[in-house]
Formats: sequence, C-alpha cells, structure tokens
Amino acid sequence: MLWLALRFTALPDDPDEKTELLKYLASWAYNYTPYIKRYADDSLLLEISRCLQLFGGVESLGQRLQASLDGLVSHYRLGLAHTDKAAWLLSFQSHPLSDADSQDVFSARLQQVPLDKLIEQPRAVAQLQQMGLRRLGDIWHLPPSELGRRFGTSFVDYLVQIQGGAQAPPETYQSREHFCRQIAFASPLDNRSQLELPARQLLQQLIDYLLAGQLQCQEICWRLYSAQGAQQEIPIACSRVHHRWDLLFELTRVRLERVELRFEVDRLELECRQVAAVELGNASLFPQAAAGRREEAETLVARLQARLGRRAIYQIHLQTEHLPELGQSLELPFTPMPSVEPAQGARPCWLLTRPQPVREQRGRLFWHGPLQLVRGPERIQGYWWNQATTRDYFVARRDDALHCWIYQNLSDRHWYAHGIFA
Amino acid sequence: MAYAELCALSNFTFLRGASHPHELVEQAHHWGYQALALTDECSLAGVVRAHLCARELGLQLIIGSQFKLDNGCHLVALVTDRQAYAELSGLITLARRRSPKGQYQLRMEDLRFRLKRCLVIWLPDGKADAWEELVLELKRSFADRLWLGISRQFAAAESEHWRNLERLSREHQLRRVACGQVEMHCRKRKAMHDVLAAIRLGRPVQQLGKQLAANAEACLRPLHELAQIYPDELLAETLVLAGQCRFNLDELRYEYPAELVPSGMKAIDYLRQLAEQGSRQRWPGGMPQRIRAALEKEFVLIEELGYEYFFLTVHDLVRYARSCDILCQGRGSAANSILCYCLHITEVSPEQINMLFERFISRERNEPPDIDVDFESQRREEVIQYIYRKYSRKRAALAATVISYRTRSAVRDVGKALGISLEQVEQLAKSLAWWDRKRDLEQRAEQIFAAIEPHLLQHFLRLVMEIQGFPRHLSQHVGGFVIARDQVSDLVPVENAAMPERTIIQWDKDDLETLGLLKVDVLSLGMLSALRRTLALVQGYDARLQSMADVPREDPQVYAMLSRGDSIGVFQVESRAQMSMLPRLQPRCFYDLVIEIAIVRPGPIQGDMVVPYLKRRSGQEDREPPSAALKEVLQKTLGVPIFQEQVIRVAMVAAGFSGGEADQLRRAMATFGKRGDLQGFEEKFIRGMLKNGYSLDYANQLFDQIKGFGGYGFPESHSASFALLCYLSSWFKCHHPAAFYCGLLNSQPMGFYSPSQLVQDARRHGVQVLPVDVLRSDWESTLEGANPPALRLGLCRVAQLSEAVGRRIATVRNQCPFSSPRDLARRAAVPRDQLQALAAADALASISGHRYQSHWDVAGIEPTRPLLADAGEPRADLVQLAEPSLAQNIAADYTSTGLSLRPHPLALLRNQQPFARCKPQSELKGLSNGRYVQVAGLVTGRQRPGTAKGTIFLTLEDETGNINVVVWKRTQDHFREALLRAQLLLVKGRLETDGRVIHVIAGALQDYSDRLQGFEIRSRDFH
Repeated sequence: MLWLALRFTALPDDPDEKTELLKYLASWAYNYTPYIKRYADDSLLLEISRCLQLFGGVESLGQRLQASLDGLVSHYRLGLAHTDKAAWLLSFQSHPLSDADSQDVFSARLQQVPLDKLIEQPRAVAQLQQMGLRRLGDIWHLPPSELGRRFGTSFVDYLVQIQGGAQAPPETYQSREHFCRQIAFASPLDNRSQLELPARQLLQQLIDYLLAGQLQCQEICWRLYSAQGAQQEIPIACSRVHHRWDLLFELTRVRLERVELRFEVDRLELECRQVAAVELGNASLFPQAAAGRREEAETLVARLQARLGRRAIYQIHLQTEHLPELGQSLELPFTPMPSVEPAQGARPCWLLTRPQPVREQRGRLFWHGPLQLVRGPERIQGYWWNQATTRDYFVARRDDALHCWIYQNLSDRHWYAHGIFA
Repeated sequence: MAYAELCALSNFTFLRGASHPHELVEQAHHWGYQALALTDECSLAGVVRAHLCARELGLQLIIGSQFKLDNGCHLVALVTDRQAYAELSGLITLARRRSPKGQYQLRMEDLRFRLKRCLVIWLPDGKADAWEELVLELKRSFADRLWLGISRQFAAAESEHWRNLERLSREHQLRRVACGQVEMHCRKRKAMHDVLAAIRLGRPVQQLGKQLAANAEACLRPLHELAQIYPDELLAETLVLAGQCRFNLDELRYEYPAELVPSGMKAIDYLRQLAEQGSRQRWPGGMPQRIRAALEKEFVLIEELGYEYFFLTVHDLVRYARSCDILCQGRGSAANSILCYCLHITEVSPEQINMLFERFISRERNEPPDIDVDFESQRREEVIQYIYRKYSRKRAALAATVISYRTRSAVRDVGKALGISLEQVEQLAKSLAWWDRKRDLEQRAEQIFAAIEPHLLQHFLRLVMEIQGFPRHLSQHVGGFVIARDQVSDLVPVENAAMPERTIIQWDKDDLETLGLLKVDVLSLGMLSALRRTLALVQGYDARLQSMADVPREDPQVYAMLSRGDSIGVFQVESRAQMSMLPRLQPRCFYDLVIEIAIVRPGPIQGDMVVPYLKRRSGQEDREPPSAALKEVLQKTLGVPIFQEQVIRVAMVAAGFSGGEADQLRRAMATFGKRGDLQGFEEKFIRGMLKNGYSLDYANQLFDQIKGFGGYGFPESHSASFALLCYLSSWFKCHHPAAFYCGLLNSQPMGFYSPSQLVQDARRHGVQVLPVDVLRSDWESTLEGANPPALRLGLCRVAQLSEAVGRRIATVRNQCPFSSPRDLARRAAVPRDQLQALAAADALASISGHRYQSHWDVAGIEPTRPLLADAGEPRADLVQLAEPSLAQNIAADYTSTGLSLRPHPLALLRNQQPFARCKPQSELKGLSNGRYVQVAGLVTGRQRPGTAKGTIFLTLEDETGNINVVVWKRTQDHFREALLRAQLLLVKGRLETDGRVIHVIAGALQDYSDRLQGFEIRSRDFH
C-alpha cells in the first residue's frame, strides 16, 4: 500500500466550518481514489497504490493533485509513506513526491520525526521526552517488551502501525448525503413557463431520493446556467418536506413568477444540501386535528414566504423588559415561545408604533382632545447603557371616554401618548 | 415634617446595595432625616462604618437587619437596646453558622424564640392570598412589636398593592409605617445597582430585563418628595419606632475573659506580681530607679483605663508559646513598655531605646492598646489551637478582613456586566500592570475596547472607578482574635469562613478599633522559624550556642558585612532599597540598625529625612537643632526626626502640644490625604513653635517633614524589635552561613528572595550546596559534615513530592540504603507519580546513573503484587540511555526544583552574542560612574515603591551576582512589554556608582527570554 497524507494547515477556526470544508475536500479527493480517511482533525489520508497506474505514477498524480488543490485551499502539506500514519508523520518534513521512494527511504525519514508528533500517545511521549528521547529513531530499536512494560501495548501497537506491520485493508469513502441533478436542454429556453416541466421532473427525482433515504429537506436551490456559463441562483426555503413534491413545485412556481430570467437557459440544476433524517411519527388511526393544523400552518407560511419573501412573516414574542417598546419582539415563524409572565399594572392592548406628542397648555394635557390623569405614575428609569430613559406613565381619560396610556419624559418634561386601552 | 428611614441596606449586602454605609448616613443627614436604620441582609458588617459617620454628623443611627425567611416572608428587625442588640447579633450568628460562607438560613421559629425585644417590620410581597396565614403567625410572635411596612416606589400595580395592605392593616389592626426599602443613597447609583445585579446573576445588564429594578426609587429621597407620596401618619409613625430604638454602638463594652486571674486576687495585683517576677530575671541586680518609676506610671495608667486583662491575655499566649519552645516576639505601640519587657513579651530593653510613655496608651485617645505578637510561622497554628482550646469557639473568633474590589477585579466584573466580550475584558485586565494608575486604565481601555461605543466605554470607566472599594466578601484576618468573657456573638455576629472549622466575626480591625474593642494579634513571622531552625542546626556541631541569648552582641564582623550591603536573607534589611542604604549608612552598632530599619520607609523617604541624616552622619553637614529641648529629642538621630515617637515629642517640646494632642497629630498624619483634617494641626503647630521662639522657616520645614512622614514611619520600639532579629540573622549569616541558609530554605515561603536566589547567594559565600539525593537528603534541607558543614538540599525541594512520602523515604533509608529505584519504590512504598517527581528532580541519580536513566528505570517499575513481593529483582534492564546535556539538565533542574546547582544559564550563554558584549556583575565594580554598559540576566525581582515617583527597580541575576537596574517612567512606557514579561533581559544603560552602591540606569530593554527556551528547545526539538 502507498499512502498520501494531505495535512491542511490553515483550516477555519470554527469547528462547523472546518468539518464542512474537510467534507468538501474529501469529496474532491474522491476524484482520485475511493480510499479516503479523515485523521487528526486536519488531515485526509489517501491510499493511492491502486490508482497509480491510472494517473501515471506518484509524481504525475502529485502534480495533478496539487494543481487542483491549489485552487481550493491555500496552505497544505503532503506526506508519502507506506503506512497511513507514517505518511501523516512525514507530512511534517518536506520531500518532493517521487516514484523512486521505497519503504527503506520512508523508514529512514521516519527516524527523524520528533516524538511530539506521535499525537495518539501524548502521555507516553511526555514520559519519553523526560528520558531525553526526542525522535522516533531514538526509540525505534528499544526492545518492544520494555516499551510495552512502560507505556502499554497500545503504544507498541501504534509504533507497529507506523512502521508497517499488519495493516487493515483501507475503507472505501462514503459520499455525503446530498442531492444535485441537472437537466440540459436541447435548445436554450427563454420563457419561465418552459422551465416548469423540467422543474417538475427534477422535483420528482428529489422526492424519490428523499423517500429512499428517509430524509427530509429544508431548503432547495435552483440554478440556471447559460451556454456561456453564466449562472443564476434561486433558493427556496421550505419547512421539512419529505414527500410533498407538489408543495415544492408550487413554491417553485411562485418564485419563478417573480424572477427575471437574465439569460437564455441552457441547463437547469436542482440542489438540496440540507437534508436530515425524517421525523416519521406513527400515524394515528383517527386523524388528529392539531397535527394537521400545524402542517397546514407550515404550508401556508411557506407559501406566504415564497410570495412575500422569507423575512416578511413574523411571530410576536413577549420579552421581559420594563420599557414597553422593548416588551415584544418579532421572531421567525415557529420559533419556540419563551415563557414570560405578563407585565403587572396597566398595559394597553394597542401600543403605538411611535409615541405621539401630547400638547400641554396652561397645565392641561391634550391629545386629540383634553386628557385627565386617572392613575399613576409608574416610573421607568434605566437603559443607561443604550440611551438613558426616565418616564412617568399615567392612565389618562379623554373626553370621549377613551383611556390612553401617556408618559412624561422626565429629562425634558415633554408628554407623549404611547398606547390606547380597549 | 420629620422622617426616619427604617429600612436601608448598604454595599455590605454584597452585590445588592449600591452605596457605602457612610454615603447613606451622609445623605440621610443632608436631607434632614431624624434617623437612619442600617438594615443589611442578615449582617451587621457595615454598621460600625455607618456609626462612625453618624457619630460625627450627629445623626441617630438605628442598628437593624433584614431577612428573607424560608417561607418567603420579608422582615426587618430593629434594635431597641443592648439586650435587643445581643438578640439580633445572636440570631444572625445562628442563621450564618448553619450555612456555607456567604449564605444564611432562617425559619419563623428562630425569630419567634430569639427576638424578644427587637421591633419588627413586615414587608409583605407576592400575592395577597398568602398573607392571611402569615399575619396570624407574625402577630402571635411579635404582638405589639410588629408593624406593616409600606413602600412607595412608583412600581407597576403599586396602587393595588397599597389597597391590599390597607385592608390587611384594617382587618388585623396592624400599625402601618412608611419604609423606603433603600438600596442606594441617591438615584445616580442606578447604573451601579444594575451592574451589581448583573454580577450577582452572571449575565450582562442588556439581557436582564425585568430582573433589574424598574427605576431608581429605592434611594433616600428628600423630605418634600416623601411628604407628597406618603400620608402624614405613616411618616409620623417612623418617628415612633425611631423613638423606641435608643441603642448606640458606643454602649458596647468589651468584657475580658476572667479566668486569667487567680481567684481572690485583683487583676492589677496579679499583673504587678508577674511583672515583679519578670523584672528579677531581667535585672538580677535590681531594677534601676528610673525604670521602676516609669513602670509605676504604666501601672497607674493601665489600672485607670482597665487594660489589665489585655496584658494578661497577651502574657498568657506568650507564656504558652515559650513553654512549647515556639519563638515569639511582641511589637506595636503598647509593646513599647517596660511592662512588656518584664513580661517577656518583648526583648528590647528600655535601656537600649527611648520608651515614650505617650505612645504606650493614650488617655485622650480612648483606644485599646495595640500589641502584635509574632510567632514562628510554621507553629503559629499551635497557638491558635491553644486559644480555641482555652476559650472555646463561642468565646474566641477571628476578626474579618473585608475583601474589596480593586482595579483588576473591577475591570473583569464591570466589563462582563456591560456585555463586553470575555476575551477583551481579560486582555484589558491582564494588560494592567500593578503600577498602573487611572489614566493608564483609560488609555488601555480605549485601545483594547476600540470597537465599543464611546458612551458605553465612558460608563465602563466611571463604574470601574466607582466600584473600587466596594466590599465583595468577608475573609479571615491574618491573626486578630477577639476573645470575650461570655459569647462573642453577643458583641458581633459570627459567621463561617471559607476555611473549614474557622469562624470569623463580621467586623474588621478598623471596626474593632473604632468601637474600642480589644483584639489580640497572633501573627506569623517566617524569620522566627528560620532562626529557631538555624540555632538547632548550629547546636548540632557547636555546643556552645544553647540559646539566642548566647549570640555575642555588637560583633564588628557582622557590621562590616552589613556595611558591604551583603544582606540577602537577613531580616528587614535584605530589600533592594535597604541593600543600597547599608553601604551609605555604614551601621556600626545595634542602634544604627534600629535607624537603618526605620529610615528606609515611605515616611522618612517622603519627608526628605534620608539625605540630611546621611550627610550629618558622614560629617558633610553639621546643623544643631535650634534649641536644647529639640536637641534632646533629636540628638540620637542627628537632628532629623526618624521615628514616630520623635514626631510626638517634637510637637510637645517645640510646639507645646499635650501628649494626647501630639498623638492625635500622629494619627491625623496617618490618614492625611484620606481625610485632610491636618490643617487645624498645622496652624496650631506653627503657632506653637513661633511662640516658643523658633523661626517661621524652621517651623515650616519641620512641619513639612512631619507631614511627609505621614503614617508610614516605624515607632522606635517596633524598629528595635525588628533590629534584634536583624542582628541575630546577620550574625548567623556571618558566622554560620550554611546553617543560616539551611534554616531559611526550610522556612520557605518567606522573605524577599526565592530559594534559587538564596542558594546562589550561599554559594557565593563559599557554602557547598549539595543536590537533592534519595540516599542522603531528609525531607528538609540538612547540614553534612563539619569544618565547614555543607548544605544538603532536602526532598522538600522536589516539586509534586508529598511530605509523607518524603519523610518515609528518609526513615526507610536510614535503616538500610536503597540499592535501586525498584528497591526504593518497594521498601518506601513510593507510588509511580512520586517516583517520577524524584526522577525529574534528579534525586535518583546516585542509584540510577543520570536523570534520563532514572526516568526510564522508574517507568519500568510495575506495581508490587503482594504474592510476588519477595520474588526478588526482575532481570536488569539492558537499555542504557544517553546522558542529558548540561543545558538540558539546567532547564530540568529549574522546572523540578526551582533552582539549579549547575552553572548559571548566563554562564552558558555568555560566549554567544549579544551576551558576550554584556558586562557580568562582578566587573561592574571596576567601571567608572556614568559609563555606558550592557548587562544581562534573569529577572528575579521587579519593584515599584510608592515613594519612587513611578520608577521601577529590577534585579537581574547573572552568574556572578545581582545587578540593580533602575527604569525611569519614560523608559517603562517605551519598553513596557519587555519590562512586564521578560525572564531574560538585556539592559543597555548608564552606570551609576559612588564606589559602594552600583546601579544601571536603563536606557533600553530587550527581552531575550526566547534564548532561554531556545536553549531548551534547540536541544529537544528538531524541525
């Protein structure tokens, strides 16, 4: 066997981004070999002995790989050896890939590897360093029984794995769960309605894929390509679709209606990246009203979002804040509600979007008519970290018996109406 | 209209109250309140501070506390008289003692049975349905001592709450009283109140919503506002309660433990008897008449003020310590007495120094006498346990130390409370050097918090300044004990300390002093431990030295050594400042040491007393004090006031102050800058001197000296007590260096220098220091051989080695030496990690070969299996590892033992650039003043004395000695990072020398710490 280690030295710090990038790189490496392993959080190990013939030897494969990889990531190191772990260790040295390298060459190079690179056995390494042993070559020839006695058999096994004792056959790479299909047209389409039929075909294929894998999707993305390579993307959010191709089709149609085609479409692509295992519940013998309503609501919201835009539909949440205008917030539909106790004291059911000035004349207050204070004050003072606020709230009665909620801003003594009681 | 606030909590309700006790009192006085009740939650920790301020302003302070009971009931208890005070203090003690530090727990029964005299205000909250049950129980418990507290804070739904309370009061005939539920003294503290809530709840203010107070009405409000919001009868009722609360903290009287005096004898007679016995030992030929007269004067004063028991208590502790062979020594103003010398509390005889009667105990001051007793640090616990045994935990408790916010903690907590990212807050907190001032904080915050909105930054800076000094929690005082006749908790609440089995009272030493309560300071002093050990070691080879009394006095060799500035390890004069003063002052007798110790203090330095004294001493200046009276006072210190007593005497003889007034002047100087009541004294002082015929210039000059002197000077007796230990330690260093350093090493941690620095110094003094070795070392360091003895480092130097294992190794080895690491592991039952620690310290070299081989051998030892225990040694390992290099060994020595006996790292680097261009310390002596030099060394000390106007003093250690480097403020700003972090520093600068004292004035600093690592890493890592 011959292993090539790709150690990426400038991966993103964010663990999720890092995982995504490594997954992507693994799918890229799949173009060269099906035997791919992730290792040490930052590396891919490729078994390449079986594809050397195809690519014309180590050097030629290396050149192709590097040419392609240079466009994908900025910093990486390569290591070549007869075992996977040895290849990874040698990625810390700089040797050009060569067809002439043999196991003896690799072994000689391994002798120079500093012990702290043996990341699978940090405790043993720390102890060995205390004994003045610094490199793999320093312990290579120590009796395995003595090493085993001191650092355990797992350490000796690890050394054997590096050196190339018994090696398990490499595992084949499992591609990620991800749907992406295209339809190319015989002649370019210039009309949106012509896209419907191919879109329908692709959606049916997606639903087949989802059903087969017991998956559901949360977002799909249409991509239109021109013959010249121009590209237009149309993402569509949907909520946990498992089998309703018709819903996806409807959402697609609604979106397409609102899209200007920027070019004649040569190819149509449907991609669905975000898939998750479907939550399949047991069907009830008698249909349950609540569950049905939730699904209906989700469908309705998805339709409205497709028509009005994702950020146009909101749900109102209560917040525990003293300041009335901060007492509620707009959240995306179906986000879980926090449990908030309703405010004590008088609170109007209609809060004005902006407080409106109340006129003060000869000691009397007017807001579309004279006002009389009937309750109060309730004082709210704080929010100094943002904009210091001090207000005295009162319930006031207007001549037409309307009760409104007014406040006096104590910093400038001006009065404002802030809400209306039913 | 009149009003008394009956419910106010201060910042001693930690992380809730947003004002200091004195701020509340001042504000209440400012608004014209009739009285203020300080009612911290289950605490009386702030009452003394409030009392002090209220006493000055003439405001009635009511003592109280508030509680949340386990059934949710919120009550305020107010103290009516002395008995009620004891009740409340006892109740708080009960609630605190049954909970972990900082918490409390109370049930309704506790209050019902224990509060028989306090007034109780009920503050109902929550739903009115739950009140019905409570009201009956409360009425049963407190009857006509119960009131319903009514608060008006403009909260939401407050009017409904009021109506409910009105109904409750009507139906159950409960009297209502207005109650502010104050948590801050003014509305401006709202931001601080919010920040404290955020710190308490662990979330930033922006996320707290309704967990913050809705407004700032929980403050002390002006009377006209109160008149608008409360009905008159509720306000008038506050005065009814205040009228019943007549207790004043000044009524607290300390009651001394009575058992110290044999029955049938008066305390003063017993004290006289003990003094008589002591004096016969002190003066076998009879006490001189002058001294007997002075002693009689002391007795009269002690009896008049009733302090017999205090001296008897201290005497009892000292007697116990002596009986157990624990070295101890008293100091402090009251130790400055013939009585204490007779009682063997101090060792400095009245013939050696001037004892000033006015400084002993003052009539005017009405303060308890002050004696601190230092015990050997490693055996002080025995004395503490004696106190607990003798008086029980009910009668003896430690004073508290109030831990308050300081800059770094303030930056951390306020930063987090304002929602600033943790990394930025940490970055700012860490970037602050301990010498930074307010302006530095602002600059650094502006740099690091660049992305934060300017107005939030302003809030941050203001709040950080404001929160500094806010108490955060109570901790235990280093050793101040309060001992009571009956129960401490009648006097002050007792609570649990963090340390198991320790209890502390809720007051700190200043509080005790304010109330004139007595505490006995049981302190620890490392030097006493070191001296006892040194003496024992010397006795091992020289039988002539039986006790400290056998140490010859006034040995010229000792003074010659000190005059060279050779004082590392010596008590009190080993600091950099002292070391550079010694060659200038050239001490020649014991009294010179007394001066030496007192003169290198912030007081004399700020008062510009050092240079005149040195000039007069060396004969460069000759100025007689302008009068015979002053000459008598200042003669011993060549006309320059150096001791506190002299300041008092000068005020008396030159400005006509009475003894008590002069002592008040001294005390005013101590607080000068904090309060500023010195001005009255200045006028009086100058006037008095003019009247006595001195010139205005001289009077001003003398007063300026005294003012600069401040509170930072030593009394002569104190300095003399220290000088005694200084002389003894110098003598041992001079004549028995191996025993001396051995004693110091075994008494660590103590003193100014690390074990590594002490060992370097020992070797420079020709002491042979031998490495830690399992075949030779005991747990502590020991002496080997004689003429001269060598110092063998003890196993205690091995990092991570437990004392039990170390001692076991020594015991087992003494029976039969170890033949191999396996033999050691088996016979002394040493676990694997401890063997590794020994290998790391190279302590197995004599049985294993070298450090690396030791590690290999130790790793191969398998745990003993009982059945095979006697199966003999398994076959020998064939593996032989290579030896470590010198550099590797040095690096490993420092890591595992904190010191190395191999060549100094600088010696290894010396032939490399840029170190080859640097002068070693030993060559600096030959260079001329003002010459440009480069020096390099390990940074072993950084110091920034408050007196040095921002200058930092560095100590660099190279292979030949210690180099003193002076870094002015401007250079610090340029090389801040290197100054703050470097381990190995190269300094380019100018040499400053007068032939005796050598400094390098830094012009540039370069951090070469990587070369130290380099020398580890290069040998270890191969990229």
